[in-house]
Amino acid sequence: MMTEAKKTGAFDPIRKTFIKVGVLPFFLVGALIIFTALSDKFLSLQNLVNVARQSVYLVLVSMGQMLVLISGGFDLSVGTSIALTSVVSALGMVWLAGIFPDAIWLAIALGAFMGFAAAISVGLVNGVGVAYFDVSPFIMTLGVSSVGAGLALFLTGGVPVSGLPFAFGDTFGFGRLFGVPVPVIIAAICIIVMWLFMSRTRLGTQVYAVGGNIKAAHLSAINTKRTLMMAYVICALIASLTGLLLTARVESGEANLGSTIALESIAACVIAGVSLRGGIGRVENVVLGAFFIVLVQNGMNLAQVSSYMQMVLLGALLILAVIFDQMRYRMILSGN
Amino acid sequence: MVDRSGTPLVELRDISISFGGIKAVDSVSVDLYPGEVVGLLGHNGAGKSTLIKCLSGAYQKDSGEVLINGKPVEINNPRDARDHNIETIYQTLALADNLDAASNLFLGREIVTPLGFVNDAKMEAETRKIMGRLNPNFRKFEAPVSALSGGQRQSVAISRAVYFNARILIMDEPTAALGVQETKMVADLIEELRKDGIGIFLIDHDIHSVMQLCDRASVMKNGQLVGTVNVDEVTEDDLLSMIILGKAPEKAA
Repeated sequence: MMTEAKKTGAFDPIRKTFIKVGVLPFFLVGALIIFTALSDKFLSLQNLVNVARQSVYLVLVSMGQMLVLISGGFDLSVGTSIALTSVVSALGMVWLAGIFPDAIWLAIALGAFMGFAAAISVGLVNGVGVAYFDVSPFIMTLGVSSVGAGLALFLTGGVPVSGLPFAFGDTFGFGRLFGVPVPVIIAAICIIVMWLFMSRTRLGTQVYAVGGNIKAAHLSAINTKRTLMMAYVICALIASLTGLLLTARVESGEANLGSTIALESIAACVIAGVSLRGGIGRVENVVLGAFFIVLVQNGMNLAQVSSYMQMVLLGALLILAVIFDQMRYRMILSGN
Repeated sequence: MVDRSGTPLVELRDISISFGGIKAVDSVSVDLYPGEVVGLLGHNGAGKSTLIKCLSGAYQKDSGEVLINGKPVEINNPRDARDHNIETIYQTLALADNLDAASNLFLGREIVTPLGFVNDAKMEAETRKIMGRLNPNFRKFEAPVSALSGGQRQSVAISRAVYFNARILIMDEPTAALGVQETKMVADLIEELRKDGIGIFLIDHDIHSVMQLCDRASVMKNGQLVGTVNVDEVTEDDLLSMIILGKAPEKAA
């Protein structure tokens, strides 16, 4: 008995942190220790800045994924939204650049809007299926992701779309504003907007309510169907923005962009304490969660872990995070 | 004594609701006057909850009429009900467990600043104000409501109805999950609301609490109305035989 009491005493602060913020701080500390030991380049400022820049894309998609997770569903079709956006906007830009060779920015803007439109239709189809036809989010977004990936491949015949206007890649892929990379600026703006949306707007609060208890939300006269719709559309829109940034980065429209991002974004959210049961999750933690995933990938690269083994570890990490999430949920329920 | 000479606050006329060929409610008529508490009694499955849900907007009636202040109205969803100042406190307590008391109180009706952002500080202050009146012992303003006791959750649900000036209040077994002390609190609250001229439909199993709290009682059995009686004029046994045997006493009101 004595030793037991002592043990809980020693572990108490750890327990409390775990219950309050989840598994992320422990994972972060663990990753920092392991990868610093494996590679002396890991903890250099240059590398960390590099990780921050690489994590922009996953941070964006994870925020969209978070919105859908909080609403009580999930979105497996984020990768498809990225691929479709990439292919459609690239095709649009190449085509329009041929028509308006003198107004290259007009071609870029219109092409980007075509990409957004494609992704919004993905979000709308997801939203209608989940909200109005009660299709489970799993089946709905899985089906849509196959449809979208097929369309993206069909549009391009499987060949990357090249010949994009140079200005597009130079600005959105590699451009800098006041020394800060343009994608980082765009991500920072999105983080602020998303934070305001989730914690300071009525719609944001209602997403939490819908995810927490959709029946109660409905009886409180919240339009639950519209709220769900909106979650899927915004998620697709953020994914679409990511798709544009990635397209600019690789300077071609590719149907295989974002193929692993659905898993990575869900992992980032779950590790950051977003509940798979809906209703719980915070923007700032998810940003950190996405950063963590990219950090681990970077660390594994530096430690020369093969990319096949990286897939194994990432999947394992996700499952581990879900197990910890379940444990945490049980601890909260039992009132400890 | 309740004044029943004017127009009733609510009139449900010949309401029928069927589920897959089974008549859950079979042309039932009940009414409610301002400042009155009408109990709806009956076994599980007698149709009392179903009947009242067509007033709260959770179900839609197949036939019949709903009149509020003498005017026929259409209530197709909870929003319509809310527009007619009808508030419902559900048996299952329609609260979002992951949110705190203030967020639940203002669920779907969040207070916003002039810029359109949610005003958390104002919502919490208002919650403290109304809780101070309804349940002065309530302290857990920060915690999600999953951490609250049955009575505390009930007081959050009731405060929601009171805060938004309900004229018509529907309470579906409000004391089912409560202890003695908390039941007393709810009873006091009903008395206070009635003084403000609010009409209350009280759905309950417990004859004793209906005798104590209600002015009239409408008894249902197998989807049909057995009868409506003045509680002062009948005994508990009379009510029991209405519920069990479906027999209305001679002097039914």
